[in-house]
Amino acid sequence: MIVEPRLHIPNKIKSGDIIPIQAAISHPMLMEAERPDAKSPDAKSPKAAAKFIEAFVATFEGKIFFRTRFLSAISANPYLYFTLKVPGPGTLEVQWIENSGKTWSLKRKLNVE
Amino acid sequence: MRITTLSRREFALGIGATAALIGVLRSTQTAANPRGSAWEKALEKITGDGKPAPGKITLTLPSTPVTGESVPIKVTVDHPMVPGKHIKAVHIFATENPEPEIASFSFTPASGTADVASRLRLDRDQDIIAVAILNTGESFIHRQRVHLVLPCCEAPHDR
Repeated sequence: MIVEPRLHIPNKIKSGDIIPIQAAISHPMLMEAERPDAKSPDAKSPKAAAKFIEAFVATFEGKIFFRTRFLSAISANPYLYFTLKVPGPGTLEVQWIENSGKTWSLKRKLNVE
Repeated sequence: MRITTLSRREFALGIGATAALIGVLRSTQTAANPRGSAWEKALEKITGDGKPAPGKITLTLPSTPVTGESVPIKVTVDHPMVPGKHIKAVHIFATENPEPEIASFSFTPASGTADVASRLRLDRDQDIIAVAILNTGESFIHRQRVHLVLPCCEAPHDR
């Protein structure tokens, strides 16, 4: 499985703007364990364990301004749209956290006029 | 001797009436159990005794998405986002989901808005509920029905 995180922000930003941020990651989002096959000898163990992005955190200059917890029924390749009020130049960082503890992150310096 | 047979038309009418009756029974079943349902219990854990008021929230969802595989949802909350007066969190629930709590989003004044969008996987018709929590603890609620043209997903749960 290739997990690819993506981040989309406006190219030109003025200080004080409220900017839209779009973040997505390619991930199957198996939010519940697959049911075991009743006929198989190990009928109690699930076919595949739950594996999903359980949290998402966005920071600007190291300060958290937006957080998400995904609990159930989120589509594969989870997509998020949220906003940031840009106080001035700085770096945006977003991080996806899988229930396994694995993380992926992206950093972007904002092009503030 | 007279043999009783149903004409095609009578038979069809009978089927139609039965289907209609089942439909009515089903809808009353769902309507009869709005209190103490799983999503309300989940909501109570978040809001405590406080009862969310209607208003402030706009929920943008297709009313009849073709499939439930990836249903776009957008929440906008009409409220200032300044220190001491802002939206702290938005929670999304689905009334007919085995796990009623779908996602929760936390905001700060630095977010600028408490607007958020994502995509849901829905396997049956149901209500989507958004609840916004203010920094004061006050809360607001909004719900919207979604009818799926084709339900999604191999059902992991028995219906």
